[in-house]
Amino acid sequence: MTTRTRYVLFGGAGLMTVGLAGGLAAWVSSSLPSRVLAQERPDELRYVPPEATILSFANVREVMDTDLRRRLREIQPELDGQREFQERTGIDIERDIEYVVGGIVPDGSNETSGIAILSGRFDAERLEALALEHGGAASDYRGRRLITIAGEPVAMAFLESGVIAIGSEPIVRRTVDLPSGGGGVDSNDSLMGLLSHVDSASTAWTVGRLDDAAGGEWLPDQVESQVSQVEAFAVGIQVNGGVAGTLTAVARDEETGRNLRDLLQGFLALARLQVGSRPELRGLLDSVRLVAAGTNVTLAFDLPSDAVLELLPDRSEVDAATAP
Amino acid sequence: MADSIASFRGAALRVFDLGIGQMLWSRRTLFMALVAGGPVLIAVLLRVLAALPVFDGGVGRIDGRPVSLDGPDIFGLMIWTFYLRFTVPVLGVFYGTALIADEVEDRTITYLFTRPVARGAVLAGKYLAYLVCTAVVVLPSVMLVYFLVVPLLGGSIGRNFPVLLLDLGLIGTGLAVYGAVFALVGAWFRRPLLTGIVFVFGWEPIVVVLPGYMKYLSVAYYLQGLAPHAMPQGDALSVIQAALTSVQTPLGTGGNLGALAIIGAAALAAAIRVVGRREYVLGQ
Repeated sequence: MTTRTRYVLFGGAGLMTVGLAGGLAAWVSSSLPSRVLAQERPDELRYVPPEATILSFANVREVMDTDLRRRLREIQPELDGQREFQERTGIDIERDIEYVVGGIVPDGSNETSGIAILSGRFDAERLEALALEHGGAASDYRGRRLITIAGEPVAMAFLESGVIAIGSEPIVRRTVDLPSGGGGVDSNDSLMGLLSHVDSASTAWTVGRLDDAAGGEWLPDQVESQVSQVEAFAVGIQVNGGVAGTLTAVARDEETGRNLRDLLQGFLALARLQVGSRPELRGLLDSVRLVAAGTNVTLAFDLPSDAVLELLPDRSEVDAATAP
Repeated sequence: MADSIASFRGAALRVFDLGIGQMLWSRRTLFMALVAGGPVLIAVLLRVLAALPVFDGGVGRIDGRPVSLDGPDIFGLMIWTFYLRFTVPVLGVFYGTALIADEVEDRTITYLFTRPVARGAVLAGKYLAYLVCTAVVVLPSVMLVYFLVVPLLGGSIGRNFPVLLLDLGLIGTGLAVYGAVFALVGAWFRRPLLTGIVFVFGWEPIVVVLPGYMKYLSVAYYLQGLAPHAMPQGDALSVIQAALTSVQTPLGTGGNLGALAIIGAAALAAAIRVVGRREYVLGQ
């Protein structure tokens, strides 16, 4: 082998080595935010039972402080059901809540129940008094105040200062029963591993497994049969000016992943054909990207705030339709 | 037995040492440089285009509107169309068929075959030289394209690094299998280059889209079944996507890899056997 041949071989190998080393370094550094997210998961995850099949998080304060929410408030001063929620619970979504952690948990009777852990600034005495006014009953359960309402399956527990749990009574009691040193859903590696599909900057996310026996019970029967080939999913939303997000579905095998991708491509193509009659959807469809790799199929979108506002129904039409 | 294997390996390595220099400094290398350099030039052009103001400096928006295609999508498209569909089979044809055919054509095969080495070792050594020669040119080209294209329009070099590794493995596998198949063609057929071109540009594109089992008699079918990239969405690109993803394989990753391994090993073993037994008659 001549010297110049060696130079070429070593040059090619060197270029590959430098490229691979650089790519590896970039990959490691890009993985860091996920690990940071893993370390900065909200503490309240420990209050969600580990058998939860769906887990959600929403940074309510961040959403309320966005420019998009400010613009929405000009069009629609109150969210749907916001006043009713405040009248019943005494909690002002706009001001009192910092973030919410929610989960859907099998309750042992072939059914699933929801639990929401609210973190924020709450006046416990006022909330308790309001609940009692609405016919609730307060009691102590394992050192925590538990409020139940006769005839209604909902209960509320004050877990610690600034943290309350709202959900079905058995699940709220289960939440209080969890050991304080861990044992919540944050110890469920299968579910928490899905967070790797969620961008670390997400304002809100939901992850869920559908392959567990109780995984899809919360879905309507027709939907459940359709998604039976999906093992898990992860949704991440970033609200910052506009709305961007990803929806990742983890299929049972690669062939199912390809079929799922084809199905979604079909839906998108159909939607594009019909966009002529719904021009407000054009921005959404233009921003949608579909990526499939192995068993993962990811649908990503990025909507500027103007496009989001275009998607909202005309408020005057809504008011006219709901007027008595 | 162990002695004959060691002898075969030693002879193949000596032929490799001789062949790599010849192969690297031949006129074919100029052709290979053009084939491998084309995507790099296109990648540079894309970088320049993406830097234009209309693309918002390459941040994923055109005139304020989000684009439905980003750097990783473009890279996937380039890997699929430039490398897997063109560069890999074409280099396999041009180099693989030439491993023995060139020696016959130049009437130098006599000198190789009169050496005290197994005839099959000559082919094995030249095949090894082909692999190293093409890998040392094509793989760095893929690497350059990756670093030029993936960061475009909001793409992340770090997050897509595993995809790059998959692509490099896929292209390496393609070079190995196509090279083995065309080494057999070169050892067997009288006009190997023509046969190879017909196979790559005539047979494979047709059979992989035809219904039935003919597609199993191609390399492209298994290779494309391993391609990790999903084709991007988009009005114009959906047509390309439909054309390219019509190749749907019912085999999984393992099945495709196994099929490629069998094809490559069988073709190389057959080529070594053909070279070992055939009497090459040199023309006047």
